[in-house]
Formats: sequence, C-alpha cells, structure tokens
Amino acid sequence: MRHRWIFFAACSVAACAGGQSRSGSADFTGIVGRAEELRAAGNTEKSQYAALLADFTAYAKSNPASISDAANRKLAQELLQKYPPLVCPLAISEPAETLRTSGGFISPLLVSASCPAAAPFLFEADSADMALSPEDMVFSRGSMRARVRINSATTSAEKNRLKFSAHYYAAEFISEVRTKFNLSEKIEITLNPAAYQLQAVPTEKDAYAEARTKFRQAKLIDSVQNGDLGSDVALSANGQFTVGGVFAGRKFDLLYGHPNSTLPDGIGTSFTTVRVDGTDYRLENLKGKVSKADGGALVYEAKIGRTGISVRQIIRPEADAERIKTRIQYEIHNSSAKLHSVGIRLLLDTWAGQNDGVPFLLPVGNTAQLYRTEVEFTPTASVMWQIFDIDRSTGTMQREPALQNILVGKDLVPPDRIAFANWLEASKTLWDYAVNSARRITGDSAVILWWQPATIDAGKTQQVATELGAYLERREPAVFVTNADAGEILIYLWHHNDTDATQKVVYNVRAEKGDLRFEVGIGDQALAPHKTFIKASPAQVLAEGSTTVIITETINGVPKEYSFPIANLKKWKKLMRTPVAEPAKQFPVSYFDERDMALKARLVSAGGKTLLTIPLEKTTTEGGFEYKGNFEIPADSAAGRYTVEVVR
Amino acid sequence: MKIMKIAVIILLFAAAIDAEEVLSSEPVVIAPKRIESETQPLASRAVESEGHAVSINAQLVIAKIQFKTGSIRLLPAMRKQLNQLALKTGQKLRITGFADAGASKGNAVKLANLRARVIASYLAEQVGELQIELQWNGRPPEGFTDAGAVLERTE
Repeated sequence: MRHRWIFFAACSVAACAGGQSRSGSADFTGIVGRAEELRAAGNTEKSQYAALLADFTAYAKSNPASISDAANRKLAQELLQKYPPLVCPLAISEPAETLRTSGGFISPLLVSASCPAAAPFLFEADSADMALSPEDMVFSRGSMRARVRINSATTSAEKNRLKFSAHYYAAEFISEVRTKFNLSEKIEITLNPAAYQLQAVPTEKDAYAEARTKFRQAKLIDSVQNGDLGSDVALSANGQFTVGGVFAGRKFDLLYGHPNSTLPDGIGTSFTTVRVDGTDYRLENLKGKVSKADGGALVYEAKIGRTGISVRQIIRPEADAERIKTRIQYEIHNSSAKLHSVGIRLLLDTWAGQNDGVPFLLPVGNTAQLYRTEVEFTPTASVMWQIFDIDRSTGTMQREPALQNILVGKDLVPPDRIAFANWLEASKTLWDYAVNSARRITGDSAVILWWQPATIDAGKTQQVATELGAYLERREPAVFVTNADAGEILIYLWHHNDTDATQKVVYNVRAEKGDLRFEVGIGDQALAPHKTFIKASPAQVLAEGSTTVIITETINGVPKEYSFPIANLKKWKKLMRTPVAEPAKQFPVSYFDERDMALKARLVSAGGKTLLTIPLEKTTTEGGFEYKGNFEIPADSAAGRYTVEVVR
Repeated sequence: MKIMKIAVIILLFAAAIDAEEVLSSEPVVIAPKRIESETQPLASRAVESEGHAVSINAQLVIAKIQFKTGSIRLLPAMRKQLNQLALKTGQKLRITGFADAGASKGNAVKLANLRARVIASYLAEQVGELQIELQWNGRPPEGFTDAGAVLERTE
C-alpha cells in the first residue's frame, strides 16, 4: 500500500518567498510584527513559522501576565483577522485518457479552486492507495490551480480516491495565539469537496500490449564500427526499422525494440507516414520490398497505392570516430504524369538515456531548454536536439553516449518541424499531432519529424534525410563536422558552473587556416551557480585541405583553448550556405570557382518555382573567385523546403 | 529557303542564350523560429465510436465535396474546387464529413471523420492556419445526400 502526501505552496501576495530567519523578539508586539512580515511577503518557509511558534510559546511561558494585557489581546485579535476561516470550492478535471493501474494517467489531474486567502497556505492531496506526485501550482487573485500526477492506480475503482486539505503556514502559531488569548473563532480552510473519486475506469492492460502484438523480427541488419563507436540498424520485412549503438563493446538501444538483446526486442513502434495529396499512408502497411544496398544500407521500397508515388527508405549506419550516426533517408519519386503533393512524417520511438527517463535538450543557450513534457520546434530554433542526462552532466563519471539528432549536414534536409512527444499518444496519430505541455515524455519518449507536403512534378524525385545517433558527453565544447566537403560544422559550446558563485563566460571561435563564417552571438554570459550553458550553432569553414577550429572558453578571465582538427575540406565548386533560413531575414550564399564568370543564385521552391534571383558579387580569392550574395527572405514566405541554386 | 535557315539559326541562338548551367544546388528549409509547448490540434481528433449530431446552415455552405464510394481521397476536381474558394489564413470554417449511403455503421463514422480530416488537412497545407471546426456523421442530413463533405464559412 502506498501512502503519498504531496504539498503545494500557495502565496497570496507575490511569488512564494523565503527569507532570513529571525527569532528572539523580546515582546508580543515584535512577534506579531514578524508574523505580519511573513504573511505580507507570502513567505512559505516552514522553519520561519516554527521559529515564530517557539518564540511565542517561550514568551507566553515566561510572561504569563502579558496574556491578560488588553493591548496584547487587541493585537492578537487583529492578527487573527488576517487569517479568516475560508471555504474554497474545488473543481477537479481528469485528463481524457486511459487510467492504467501501472502508469496512471499521462497528463495530470487539474484541481482549480477559488480561495481568496490573504496569507500563504499549503494545499495537499493524498491517497491511501494511489501514487501521486505534484506537478505545479499557480495562485493568483484568490484562484488556485494545481496539477497532480496520478502515477499509479488500483484495480478497485472505489479505491482510486484522493483527499484534499489546506491550511495556513502560520496555522500552528495562530492556533497557539488563539488558545492562549482564549479567542473563540477557529481558523480553518475548508475545501469543498475534500475528497474525489476518479471517474476513469482503471485498466490493468499495459500500454504497450497492443504494440507488442505487432512486433516484428529483423529481416536485415547491418552495423559499422569505428574505434570504440558503432552504429547498428535493423529492418523488418515490412520496412519498419530500429537503430542501436555500440560503445566500447557495449550495445544499447537508440530506438525502442532494437534487436540487440539488451532490452526487450521487437521492431514496430517507430513508423513512417507518407501523405499524398492529403491522404495518409503508413509505409509499413503498403506492399513493399526490402533489400540491402551496396555499402550496407537497408532499403525498403513501396508504391503508394495508385498515386504513382513511390518511396524508397534508406537506413544507413555510418562510421565516424567522433559520434555514432545513422542516416535515415527517403527518396520520393513521382512516376505519374501529374504533380502530387507529398510529405513524410517520421515517428521515432526514442530510447532516451539508461531508462528512457531523462529530459530532452534543445541546445539554444541555457538549461531552461530542458524538456520533460511535450514541445514542438522548428529547425531555425535549433538544428539539433539531444537528451540531457542530468546524473551524468556533472561529476567525473565516464563518458557515455547520449541520443541526439542532427538536422543539418551533407545531403540532409532539415524537417519543417519537430516535436518531442509522448509515444503512446503520438502513436495513435498518423500525421497531425498537437503537443501539450501537460503530457510527460520522460519514461515514454518519442520524436516526430515532419517534412511537410511539397509539390513534386511528374517524373521528379525529391529527397529528405536526417541523422540519428549519439555523442559522447564531454562536458566541454565540441565541434561536430556535418559536411566535411563544404566545411559545414556545428559549434557546440558547453560549460557547467560547478561553483557556488556566478561565473562570467566568454567564447571566441576561430579557424587556424581559412575563413570561419560564424557569429557566436552570445556575448558575455553570466552563468548562475550550478547551471549549465549549452549552445549549438551551424558554422562554415571556408578552406581547402585541413585546418583546426579553436574554441577559446574564458571563465572569469581565465582562458582555455579547445582544438578541433578538420580534414578533407573542399572549397571549390561548393555552394556554401546555412541550411535553414528565417522569413524576414537575410540568407547569405557563397560559391567558389577557379573560373571568372557572371553568376547568379536563385531560391527555388520544392515544386520548382523560382521565388528569388540575385546576382552574385565576385571577389578574387586565392586560386580563383568567391561569388557571394544575400537573399532577402520575404516576411510572408511560406515555410517549407527550398533549393538554392548557383546558376551560370 | 534562306528565310527558313535564318529563322532556325535565330531560334538556336535564342535557345543558347536561355541555356543555363546549374553549378551547384543545395537544400534549405525556411521556417519561422519557434519553440512551442502547446500547439492547436488540426483535424486530429480521434474517430469516435458514435457519430455526432451535425448541424449545417445551408446559407453558409460554400462547397460540397464529392468522393468516390468508400474513398477518402480528394479527387483532382475537388482539390480544384477547394483552391478556387480563395480562402485566407485565419478564416473560420466548419467541415462536416459524411459516409456513403451503403456504408456499415462502424465504417460510416470512420469514413465520415476521415473525409472531414482530409479536407481540413488539405486546406491547411494550401492556405495556412485556419480556424476549422470539424463534425461528422455517418448519414448526411436532408439536402446533402449527394456530398461526402460540406464546407461552411462560419465567419
């Protein structure tokens, strides 16, 4: 039997506040003054109220005559008036989800109350038989809204019952004052109702019971290794896939069910939807065939009904000494005589961390971007996501690989939008999915990548791709090479302040040889104690052959350099551009060629329509010419996939 | 004959002027920068076991969409019809889906729901963000028996 009390602090005045503990006021006036300060500040520090009670008890014991003092009695009466008895009506709403005996609800129970208290009070929910945990609470202008997670329930519906209670922080002190001064009115906060029976009928059925019935075995597998790091992929006969990793001889899942005997095996919880002219098709339900391509990639090809659209899914593990990576690619071909609108949605049943229980991270510059509940973002907000294993983010534990998805790189096409989602909810949908911050992702995480429908002309082929993998948590800056040919890299800045004082953090990034196109854009960071700064930004090194990127991290004026050699750079005849652009912003492009030409660049939609054309300005560079220009992306540009072409 | 030759030469010359050589081509995604913890569901309501009681105001109807029997695919002519509505982002619409006359009860509700969702999704792709209310019922009401779905402009 579980018995769990949970506590919420409600403050009527401002944000809940602590404060310096004071005690030892010599007289009753002083004690009342302190009580009033705590009330007015909305203080929720229990020790302050305990000290107040102790001081009053000691004062009353040593000054029994003061209790009969008329002035003190008046003070006591005035004090009690600040803590009136209240009746707070509650409204409880259950999430419209299945209640499971193991796991409870995915979203929390919502408790709203009208409770016009003028002093801070505690709200409590408890259950004799269910496991609960507090989510959060908002208290404003006499209204309270608390969210309570039901983490497990019982098979007996009548036992799935919560009790609610509330009392002022100063309740014991006030009660003691009332008793000592023999004041009659009892101070209470009454909640109505004080108990609530869950309406949802509990089920013992495991959330994954249905998914397990559809598990499939691997038809084809492949793996590559480079030093300690390896990538492992598996494909079922109907085209569903899983991905795993290898580090120092140890295998682990990156997607749920990867057949490597380290966790329950079974392919089937990650799936692909193809949307053709508004109709959604699950790729694995189509009649397709699997094959192994040269180089080990696992291929699944399927025709989409009678539309003339065919999709070729290619899962390719790639060897890399710095990170674990697998390329997931879709080639969409229109063999019909008319144009079609085709999009891809990829639902990945991610296995995050050691137990799928760690938060997700968008490395955009601060740890506020850690997500334990659902969120949706665009690649202009972040060109990669990772998990963030808090237990391993500090300290001296060994480096461990952690799941990540890099959205930009050689031949990759960033998805139009990405969501961190609860797998169980997301897996019920084929295309549209609305994220909800009430739904947790820890424990059952999924990631959805959408390449929104784009026009494909008759006879044409389009491609989208992404890189799923893992990196070794270094707890220091890093550089991820995303396209060695074009010098595209991700500058990954990482610093944890493990001191008790705020640190000033400054970064400077340069290339030893060649031109580094990168705007740090972070200024001086004031990093609070025990906080972590993480930011990943795309950059380009315009160089030929090899160079070294040097990141100088200066903490409180003390610099430290990190060097990252990059080889095989090819500058010539490569279009240099960042792979994501924002409406109403400039979008720079560069092209290098030995030849002296008049060139222009154009921005072309997925359907082949030219939206912008700009002349490229020519400047002489070592061995040839650099052609460069800026697209002014219109503010009303439709979001989606485009191509930048350099045209002679 | 001479005139013909000159014409051919001019045409070839013109073609040569127009010929462009694409030296390099790379993908890029244009997207507004955003991170959102709440997004609005679009046509993603689950299929419910029972059909809704639907209400349609004939005066607000702007399109009747037909489907092939048992199909949820938007026919080219119907896509054209939807495009011709020239809808603008933010407009309020109500889409009501129906099934075919012979569909079984269970299938009818699912078919009706999916037809409404397909139209909503198509419009969202073509137009952008719209305020769409969905409703569906296995059986169309009087006056709409020839349609698989009906669009109303509610504002």
